[in-house]
Amino acid sequence: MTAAEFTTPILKQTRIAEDIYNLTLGPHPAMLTATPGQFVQLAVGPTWDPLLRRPFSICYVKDDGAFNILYRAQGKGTALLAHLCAGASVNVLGPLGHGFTLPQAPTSDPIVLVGGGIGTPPLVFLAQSLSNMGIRPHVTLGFTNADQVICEEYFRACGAHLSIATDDGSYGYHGLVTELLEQINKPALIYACGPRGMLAAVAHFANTRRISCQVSMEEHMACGMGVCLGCVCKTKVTAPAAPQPNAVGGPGWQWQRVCMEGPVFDAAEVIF
Amino acid sequence: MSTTQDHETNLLVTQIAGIALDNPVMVASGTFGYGREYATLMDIDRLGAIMVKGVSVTPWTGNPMPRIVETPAGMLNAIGLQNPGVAYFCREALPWLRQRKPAVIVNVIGKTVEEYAEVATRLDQEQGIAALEVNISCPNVKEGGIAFGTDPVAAAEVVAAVKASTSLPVIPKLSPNVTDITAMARAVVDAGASAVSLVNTFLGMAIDVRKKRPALANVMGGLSGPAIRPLAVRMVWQVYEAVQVPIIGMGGITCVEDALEFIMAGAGAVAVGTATFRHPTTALQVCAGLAAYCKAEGVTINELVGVAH
Repeated sequence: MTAAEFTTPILKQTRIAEDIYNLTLGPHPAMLTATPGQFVQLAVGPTWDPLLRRPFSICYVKDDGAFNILYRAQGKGTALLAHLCAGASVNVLGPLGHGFTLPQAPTSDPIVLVGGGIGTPPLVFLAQSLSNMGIRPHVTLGFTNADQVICEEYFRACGAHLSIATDDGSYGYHGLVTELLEQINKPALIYACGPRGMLAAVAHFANTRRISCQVSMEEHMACGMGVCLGCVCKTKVTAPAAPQPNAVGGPGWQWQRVCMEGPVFDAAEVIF
Repeated sequence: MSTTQDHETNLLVTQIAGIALDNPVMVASGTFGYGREYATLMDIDRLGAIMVKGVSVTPWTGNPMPRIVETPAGMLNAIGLQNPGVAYFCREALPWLRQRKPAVIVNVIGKTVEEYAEVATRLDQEQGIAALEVNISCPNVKEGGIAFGTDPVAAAEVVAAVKASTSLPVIPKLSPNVTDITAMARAVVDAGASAVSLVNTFLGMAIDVRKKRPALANVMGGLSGPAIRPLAVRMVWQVYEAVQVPIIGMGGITCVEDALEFIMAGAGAVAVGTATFRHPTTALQVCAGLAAYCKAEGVTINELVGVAH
């Protein structure tokens, strides 16, 4: 799980939905150590403007260490990235962070993956890993409309039970992804990645039913290596869980770094 | 018999405030944690010194989120000096750091003169620290920090108190958020500073126009990165002409040419800060670049200090 800094070519870049791109980056041995929920920091372009790397969760890693990220072009960095074609190079720092914790053994209890919009891609990597363990997860995804639906084919390829919701009903269930979650009979374990509001709702659902749940948090980052303390997240300090040795906070809470202790946290810990 | 590599490396050997350095390239406080975070990515033993994240008497929680925002060729931060305190630093971070080759320069922070002195007193009991950098310039905390860094009398008081509490060289880190940086430099040198670090970040702010609110929870923050380099070079130039003590120059260094600007303006050593966030090995590349430059020019690094004056 040691991160590396490496420059690698873009093997392929495809626009898969409005403003959403699927980027395939050239192989590196470090990426073979990546686990679901981890992320990479990409430096876009050779200049110092934009200055900071951009964090992207890993969608999946191929056997040779080539890997994919799916992102929405919505700011200065991602707009530049979207303009790059196959053959151009990007500099990668990764894999970084603490990803999803997989079940210790195969289980027949329902395992549910909840994705919202552009938070969906890391769940592909997770679904593949679960599938490799012989687990067929339930995958519930929410998007604004039919045009924004992504990753469907990946989840189908690994045999997941898939259900999709859209805000306007233009595809699948008309409503919220959390309503799909409520329809699943007795989930044993929930994994979620998506907008903060969705994560809060999923965490509330899980916490009130005492269902084990892991959420992947998103933050703007500078270093991605745990030094700048720009991406901290407020978490509960609950006995018997010991506080992080280097963490600071107030009565009952502590900061944890999204880039190091996260991006995946126990939903019962996060203070939304 | 020395090898070519040794010869090139020797061109970079220097001294700041009595601290022997293999080379004049440091990593700036707050951008390199306690050193260990980056050790898996690079050979940190090739750094001249590590200026560790600010250390206070008791743990500080820092500011609410959001704490950072990107700006043109730069970034604003308002971390607020979150740190686990001097006891944690001495117990968990220092034992590892002191076994590394780079000189360890500990950045000291406080809300009062007494707190600065207390940290200095505690650190004075420890082996393996080369110097104390006194942070009188953080723009992101309400008390301490910049309150001491913009008033020459208050700055001198902090430096004198730290000086009285330690046998180590004392290096104040000056704030650029003043009208006359030379007045601040003179004040801290008169109070016993062995060298000065300059500059810390420039006070700035950004508005999130979608939310119609300041982008940072702290409203204002410190600007760093290449955007501030010409301002920082100018201040090193001015301070070099005003005081006799060595200067550690920093502010937006990304490459060897940037470092040479600071050195030629009068810095005896340089620190790489924000650039490390983008390319963790920037400081090592600057170091290799300086060695190559000195070899090509047939000079030592010390012969280049202030050469542009």
